[in-house]
Amino acid sequence: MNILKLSDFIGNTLIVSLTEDRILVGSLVAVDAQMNLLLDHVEERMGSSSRMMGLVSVPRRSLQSIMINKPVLQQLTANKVEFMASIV
Amino acid sequence: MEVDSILGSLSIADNIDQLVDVTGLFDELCSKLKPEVIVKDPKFDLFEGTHSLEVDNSKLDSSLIELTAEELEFDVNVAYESPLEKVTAISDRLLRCVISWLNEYQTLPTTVLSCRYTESLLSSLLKGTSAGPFWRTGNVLYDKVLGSCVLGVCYLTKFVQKLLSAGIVFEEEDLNFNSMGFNTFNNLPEQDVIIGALTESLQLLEAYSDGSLHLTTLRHILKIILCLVHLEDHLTDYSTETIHLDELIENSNSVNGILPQLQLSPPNGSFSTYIQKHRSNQFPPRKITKLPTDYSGFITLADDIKTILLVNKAESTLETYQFARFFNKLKQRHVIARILFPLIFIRDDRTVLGKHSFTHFYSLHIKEFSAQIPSKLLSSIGNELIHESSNILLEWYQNCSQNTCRYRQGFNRQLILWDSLQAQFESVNSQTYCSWTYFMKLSSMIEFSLKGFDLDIYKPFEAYSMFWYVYYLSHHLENLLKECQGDVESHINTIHSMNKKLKKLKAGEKKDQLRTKYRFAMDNEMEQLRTTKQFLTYLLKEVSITKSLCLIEVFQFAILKSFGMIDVKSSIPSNFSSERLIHNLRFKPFNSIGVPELPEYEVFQQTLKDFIIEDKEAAFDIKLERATTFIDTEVRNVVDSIDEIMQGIKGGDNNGAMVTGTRLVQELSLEYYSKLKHTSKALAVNSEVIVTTLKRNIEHKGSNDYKVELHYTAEGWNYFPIQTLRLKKNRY
Repeated sequence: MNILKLSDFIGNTLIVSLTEDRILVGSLVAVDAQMNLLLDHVEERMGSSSRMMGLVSVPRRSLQSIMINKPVLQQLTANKVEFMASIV
Repeated sequence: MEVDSILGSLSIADNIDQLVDVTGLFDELCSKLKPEVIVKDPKFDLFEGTHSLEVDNSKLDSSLIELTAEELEFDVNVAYESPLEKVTAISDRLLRCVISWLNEYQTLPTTVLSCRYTESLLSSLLKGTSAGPFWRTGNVLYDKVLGSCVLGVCYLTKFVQKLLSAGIVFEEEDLNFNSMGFNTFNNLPEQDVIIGALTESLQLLEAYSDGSLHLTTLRHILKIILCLVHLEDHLTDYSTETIHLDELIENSNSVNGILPQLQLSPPNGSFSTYIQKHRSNQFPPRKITKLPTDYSGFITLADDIKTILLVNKAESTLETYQFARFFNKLKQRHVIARILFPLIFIRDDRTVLGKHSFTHFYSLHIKEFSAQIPSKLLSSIGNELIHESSNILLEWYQNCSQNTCRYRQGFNRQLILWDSLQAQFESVNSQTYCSWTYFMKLSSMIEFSLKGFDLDIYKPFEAYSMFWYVYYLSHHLENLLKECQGDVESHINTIHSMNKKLKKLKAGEKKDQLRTKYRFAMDNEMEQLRTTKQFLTYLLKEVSITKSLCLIEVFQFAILKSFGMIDVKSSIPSNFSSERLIHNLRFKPFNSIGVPELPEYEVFQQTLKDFIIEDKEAAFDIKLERATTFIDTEVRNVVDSIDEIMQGIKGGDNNGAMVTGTRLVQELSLEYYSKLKHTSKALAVNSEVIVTTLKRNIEHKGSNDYKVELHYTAEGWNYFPIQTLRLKKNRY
């Protein structure tokens, strides 16, 4: 995981937790040095309900945690390792 | 992209162990970035990011909408007390939401979809088509009557969605259709089912005999919704029947008479921002719209649709042309009428009004403008060119129903199309087609230029250039029309000379042949020739009015400049631009036009000098007097010409001198010319005011006290604003 860079996460689905029961699931479009996120195709999940919100910006101060699906992360890491090996 | 398709059936709560927390990693990686760096998808334009919704920002995050306890507890399955009063109040408010949405350009979620009953009905259609009941309160007024009202409004909404999908008008600009993710409009029952439900509700109300105003209002509301459900008939069947529109007006007037006497209050929470917080929503939160207090919006809707339906009665292309020019000119018509016009006019079966093929309709324009028989003409022109011309003509018609800003923008595009078309006709040597195309191009150029004044695009210092340029265009148009009229007159004279020749010829084969030719011409050509000649007379009058009004404006500008009140450049100095650049930018749309060529910047400057009276001139006062006398004379001529046109219109084009083609838009055209007349008189008065004020001002040595503004009078025509002197406001 430590070999990954921010650009590797671009285009991948993140699960961003804002509060106890408010989670945004969306594709990472951009991130800046302050860790403000821009997510697209966002689905908001609150309790048992969910809805689509489109393009959403998440300020650093609002986010509690960022998570990613384990298989996706494993795939990203594997791809990176393979890529690094191919250029060495 | 549905998230579930990416994550499969992953439920975050259930599969938390399938997730890896990368917050720390992100923190670490971000801390290594330079402050100004943004890591982004290379295909993503950061400008798009400005449209994003920021979470935890109350102006952008709809999840932060705070709902009252009543909004949260509201339940469509509860029959709130006083059902008749409440159902009337809900239905009334829902209809006023429709007016706010369609007449006042408000959004769907803050109007129709703010009704919890509408939301509930559309949600229940997620499972498939249903005619109700959509809620079960156990009360027939809620379950049946209100159900049918909401169903009817949803059906109208579906019709509007269909109209919007035709791509005639612009979403957000002309009409908002943010459906909050509801794709269930297609699951609404058919029209006859909805009409059945509304009729059944009306019958149910027959059982109520309390004679209350609420009951009367509810009956009118049901009838209004029935009329609204019938609106689609004008598109699906191209119905020209106006009975439902008349009923819509009648019932709306009745409700308008009752509403001030009623206290209507829907159940608390029944209209809410609830939907914005709970449904898919890609927009910032918006407050519920302030609604109109009566149903006048429906009267506007019905009147405007009735107006556009009149086009079906057109008997010539002179009439369709004049109809398109005038129907949306004085005021912007209701958006539904503006969408319906091109859809009714240019039909799906590729006919115009179900009568003419596109190319035939086009050839009729040529015939009526030139009085030449199209079959003779068509054979010499390639089919491809005719199709292209037809399409441009139909685009012109479609453009006439655009909103006031897009209308001008549409002409901008049209100028290039007409210009290119004219060049193509010149290359195949077709004078008649060429002349008509040139007429359309010049008319469009004049309309485009003058419309800029109506839209308040030009600054006072630009008034000279614009009016002088329109004068220049009008001069070209006048020459063209005179030439066309000359051709028509020559044709008429040729036919008359046949008759004279006949009288001189001795009986025989030659005489018989000429007689046949003469009779054919008299039977088949003469009437059109006379009509065309008289229509050209009208167009010539009209262009002379435009020309004179422009000249008056030019003279007034020159007088103002002679007194040092204004110049053809911005009074604000700029290091980044120049007078020439600003001028060229303003005239950019005409830069690529081949004929008439756009005069150089220096020509504009030079012509202004010719109009100005230098203050060192000994005969300043005499020249000024001459200029004002000239303006007075021009105004008198303009007023006389307008009167002649108005007489022609009032007389139904039967005075034998002029054909205006305004039968279908008689009132509208008369109103337009009255406004033009008012403007002409106002210009004459302004001329006196300018001279008197400025002379007095000089005597009192206060030349810097005034500035020039373009003033638009409510009774006048905005294409010719008054260049008014205004006292500068003292800042201190």
